Amino acid sequence: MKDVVGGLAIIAFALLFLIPGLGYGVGSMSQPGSGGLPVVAAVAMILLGLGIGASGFIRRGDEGQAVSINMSRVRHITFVGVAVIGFAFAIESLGLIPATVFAVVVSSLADPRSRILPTLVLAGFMILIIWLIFKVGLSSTAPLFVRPF
Amino acid sequence: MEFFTIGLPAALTIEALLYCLAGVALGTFIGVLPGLGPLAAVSLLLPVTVYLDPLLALIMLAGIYYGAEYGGAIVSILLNMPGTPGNAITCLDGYPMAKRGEAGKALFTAAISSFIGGAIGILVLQFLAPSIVTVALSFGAAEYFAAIVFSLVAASTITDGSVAKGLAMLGAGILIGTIGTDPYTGVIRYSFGQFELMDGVTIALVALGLFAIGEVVMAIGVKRDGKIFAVKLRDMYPSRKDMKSLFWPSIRGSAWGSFFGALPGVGPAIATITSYATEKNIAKNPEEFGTGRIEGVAGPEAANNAAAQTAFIPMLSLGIPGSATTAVMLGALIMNGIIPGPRLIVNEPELFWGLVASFWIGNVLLLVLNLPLIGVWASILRIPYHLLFPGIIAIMCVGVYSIHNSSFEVLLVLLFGLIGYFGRLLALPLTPLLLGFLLGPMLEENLRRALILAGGDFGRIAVRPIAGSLLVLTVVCLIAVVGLGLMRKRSNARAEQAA
Repeated sequence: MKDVVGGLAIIAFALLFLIPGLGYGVGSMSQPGSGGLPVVAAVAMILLGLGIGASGFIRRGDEGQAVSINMSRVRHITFVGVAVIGFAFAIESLGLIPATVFAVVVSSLADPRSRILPTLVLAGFMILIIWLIFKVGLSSTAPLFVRPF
Repeated sequence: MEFFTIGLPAALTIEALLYCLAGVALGTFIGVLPGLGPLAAVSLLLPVTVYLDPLLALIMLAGIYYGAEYGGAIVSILLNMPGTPGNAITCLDGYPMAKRGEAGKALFTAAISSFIGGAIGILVLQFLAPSIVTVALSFGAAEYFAAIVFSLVAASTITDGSVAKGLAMLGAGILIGTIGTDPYTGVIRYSFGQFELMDGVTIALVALGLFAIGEVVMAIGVKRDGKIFAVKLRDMYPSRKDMKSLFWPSIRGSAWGSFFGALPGVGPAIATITSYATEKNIAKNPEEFGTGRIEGVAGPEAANNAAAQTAFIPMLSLGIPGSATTAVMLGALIMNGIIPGPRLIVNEPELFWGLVASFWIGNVLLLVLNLPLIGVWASILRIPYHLLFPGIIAIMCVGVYSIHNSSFEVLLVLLFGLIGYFGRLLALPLTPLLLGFLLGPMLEENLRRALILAGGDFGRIAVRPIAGSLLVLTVVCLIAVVGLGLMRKRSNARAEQAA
């Protein structure tokens, strides 16, 4: 199954770029246009994706072809993803410190071994490190807290 | 000569020494730390380097890279887990030595051999890179195009062995690299309606997503068991016999490492395997390998460190990196406004020679850090991973945001993180994607120029002696990788039939 999914993903990605690419103008050999390289690359990817998918379909019973997706993997990527998305929104509406705490606390939930107290200590430690590197060291302009007015 | 007149003065400033120390210490730390490799670490620091002087930035990033090869050996020996792919072979004899109570001796061997490998690798870099530049300065667009094609194809197919997957991911990288305004025609490509994408995607976002997020999330929940052996400095004093048995394997390992390190896509892991096989072949009693022989640690450890140094040759002399880590470092230069290519050493002698001088300083610092401070590094092994990765995620978010104060880019990093994570789950190689992204614009520019000069006739590019031979070499390389893959499959099938 692994290579079937992989091949399909490659084809989908290539199509996403192929369709607009045709509109950029492929040009000619002596005067290549903006769409030239993207179209060639996308078409090559589609052919390779078909090959990968087909060979994966033939060997679908093989041991190495199993996709190991289980609930704990879903948990890992979901919490880390939510942590990053939350950070992206919190940094502009709330500021650097709340966004950092959010990212640390939510991503720690990805691992069932995390405990709230050590996580909060880690969040405090990260605030210190980030303040030292980005505020003191690099004089970043991102505000520590955003005032709601 | 430039090494003494330009390089040493540039690398011996207080600032340069501090960044070198920070780099190698961080590198050792990362090498020891489970779940985070040098590639992720170099990517994590990429946003910070935008604020630094390019020489200081490169000194620090490079220090992380070769420092991790030293640190990785410590985990291989004490825990039987490779810190970096280049340290995997070190487990074979290093861990049995530790089990036998000779952890100190194995660590000492690893440190000294690493230093020998590093030193030989730097010497090769120092002499070879400037001579490659003299050839490369005569390159036209056709030659440059062919060199990029060879490097990309070799790097995408050799390491992972799957030609189709490597090339497909290379294509994905090239496509992502075309996002933004086309400098030739002014056409805005693939902005998908987002004005933030009109200037293209910054390399930091691609590298951080693919390697930092992808790697960190993959490592959550991985169980680590096994006993960590205690080491004391007192146990590390070697005997004269130990010194003798580590010397020649280290020299031979350095030779393999220097050779393979400079080639695109080959890198430290293959160099260590070759070195180990060599030592086993010439040993009087090869059956003792795997039971804790000094030679089995010395050769591979010299090989991976030599390879880490010579990997800088194509990156600094041609501007064409052959591995993901050197690609990220080249990205740091690009983000600092420095144009990579053969003119780099000519136009920025301080950058090249200063970096080379810092390699010498860094390797000496690593020897000092590794021998007396071994206890400190061994205790890092006890930090639980669930107290590390949330901090890594937070610092990555702040780093990305600080590049352009853009939340959009934080979300974009997550998108690349998802590509990195699912790519790993589906066994799709990610190095080709990064290399395609970084070199794609250079490939397109040189191909266009070469085609315009040749009047649209690709045949006229292929008959140029250097360009033509590089293209032939590319085809030979492809056939060889496919052929080796088929042979391996057939011998596996035969072994199954026999069993």
